[in-house]
Amino acid sequence: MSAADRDPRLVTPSRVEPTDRTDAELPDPLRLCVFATVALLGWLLGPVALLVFAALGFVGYARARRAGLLRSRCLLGDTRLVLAYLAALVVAGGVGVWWWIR
Amino acid sequence: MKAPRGAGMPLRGDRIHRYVNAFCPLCHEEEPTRPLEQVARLSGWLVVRDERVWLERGCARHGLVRTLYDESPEILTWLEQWTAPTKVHTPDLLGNFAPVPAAYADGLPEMQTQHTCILLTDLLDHCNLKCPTCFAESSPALASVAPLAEVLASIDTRISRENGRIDVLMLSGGEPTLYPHLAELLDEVAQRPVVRILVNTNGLLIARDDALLDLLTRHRERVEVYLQYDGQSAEASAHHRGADIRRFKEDAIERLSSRGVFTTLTMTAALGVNDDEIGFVVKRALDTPYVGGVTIQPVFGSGRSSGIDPLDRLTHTGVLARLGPQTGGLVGWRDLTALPCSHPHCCSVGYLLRDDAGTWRSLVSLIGPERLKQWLDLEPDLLANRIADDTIPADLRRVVKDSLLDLLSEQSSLSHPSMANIWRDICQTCDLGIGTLATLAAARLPGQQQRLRRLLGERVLRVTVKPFMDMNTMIEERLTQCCVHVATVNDATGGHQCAPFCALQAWEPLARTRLSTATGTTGESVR
Repeated sequence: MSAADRDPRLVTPSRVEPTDRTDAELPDPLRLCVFATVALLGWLLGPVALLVFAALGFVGYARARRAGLLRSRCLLGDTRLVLAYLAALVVAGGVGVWWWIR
Repeated sequence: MKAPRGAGMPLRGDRIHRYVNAFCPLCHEEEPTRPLEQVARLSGWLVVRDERVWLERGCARHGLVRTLYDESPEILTWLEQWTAPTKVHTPDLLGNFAPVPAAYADGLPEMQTQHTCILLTDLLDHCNLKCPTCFAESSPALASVAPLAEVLASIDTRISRENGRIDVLMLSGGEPTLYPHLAELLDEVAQRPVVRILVNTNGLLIARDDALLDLLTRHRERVEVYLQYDGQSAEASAHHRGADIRRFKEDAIERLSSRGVFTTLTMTAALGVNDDEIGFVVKRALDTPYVGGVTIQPVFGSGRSSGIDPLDRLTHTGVLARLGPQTGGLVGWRDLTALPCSHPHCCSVGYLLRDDAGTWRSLVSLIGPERLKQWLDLEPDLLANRIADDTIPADLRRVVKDSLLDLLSEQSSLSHPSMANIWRDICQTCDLGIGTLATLAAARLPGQQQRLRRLLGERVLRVTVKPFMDMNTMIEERLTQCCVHVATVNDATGGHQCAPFCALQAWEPLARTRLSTATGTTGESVR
């Protein structure tokens, strides 16, 4: 029977779709990544800001990944890539501060 | 790494109202003549979703099947407050514990929980109309006429199983006024302990036949006419009756009213056809002397009727919801209660009374719903307080309770012989402010009975809503508590018995056993 001639009295029992919901229901600290990117721009003016926000983002994503978040709405997608990106920013921030106070 | 934590289970998004046993309409449509033993009773529930009540049942063949059960959960919950103890019945076959519906092949089974309030007897299958929505599928082409002896034998059997009395005998068909032995039948029934007789008619013959009108007038103390009346529009008449026969209806009403024959207008209402004419029918009844009642029946899908959308149709609570807006607030759904003797989903009833100032008021509003519940003993929590505080003697309370239960039952109508006592007890004890009615009801002077009759005919109106079930709305508990029973004949033994109305209309193997079909002869000519 096709969907078109299916009797409208026949209904599908309500179901949950666990795979779709797992990542969606977990906290995704996207804004921390956004802040870090903004701080990257700020690095041009102040490497300390980059260091602080990149560290915050790194900690947030590390916790989220430990809780099971494998995919982020961040453009990088995979949370491991996001963590690597934020780690690179932390290093860049540290270098900048070092250069700044030298 | 730990396994990912899911979000857990979400809410269903609906609310289960009650768990029920139901039947699959799709299986039924595939094989309407299926033997009763093969009809599966299905687990199901009434569920509230999107502010409507749906009937959902699980069918092993079709899966989850959902149909509309009622339009308003709020009104349905209101109706469910009004239930009263039921009466003992006598099974037609002792020891019949077969499941529903197979049990009804042998008449009322052991598990029925209500006696016969109304015995509906089909006198003939013949009719002078071929209504497109006729549940009995009667027509001029059918000439099957039940012999008078068989009709009387059926009535006598029921009297014996009802402990010596039938409260209401409803004569139906086919068109019962065409029954060739109607006069003899009414005379015979008058000799028997049958309290009231209702004649269920389309009114065509009453509008033209003076002899028939004389016959009904002669029996008017006991006979009441249930006249099919579908509203004011030609479209409603054409939809339900197949032609514009409004002129006949109006003539029939006027002729019955002029003879003082109590009449109830019986409206078949369908969504989009005449569901906007409910208020008109109520007002027509209010304005016409001796039209003592209005019964509104949402069209149901058994018999010839088809084309009902099982997901969007007029229902019991839908009719109740339309009352207020269509009568300008004269009668609303809170003016009706469920009929306490039957299942609360099966019938609702309300009385409108015109007081000495000429204002129509409902019995519920006059007494107050909470007080009415107390009188009916429907509020066990209040019992303790009442025993301490109530100044009304216990025996008087019992009298009023019994009167109210009689009034709010299938057997009652304004032509009921005990109506004077009922109104006297209610009017006086409850102090309804209906002075004239109370005075007349209490009076014992010669001639007062006729004055009271006229007063009831002009100043009291009984409004009922009667939703019959088809397979899209059928639940077992309503069949079990049904008290409107159709006279049938046992296929195997030929013995007289009866079965719940909705079961008989829905299942073809039961419909075949109705009195007129099972015993009918084709040799007799109709009136």
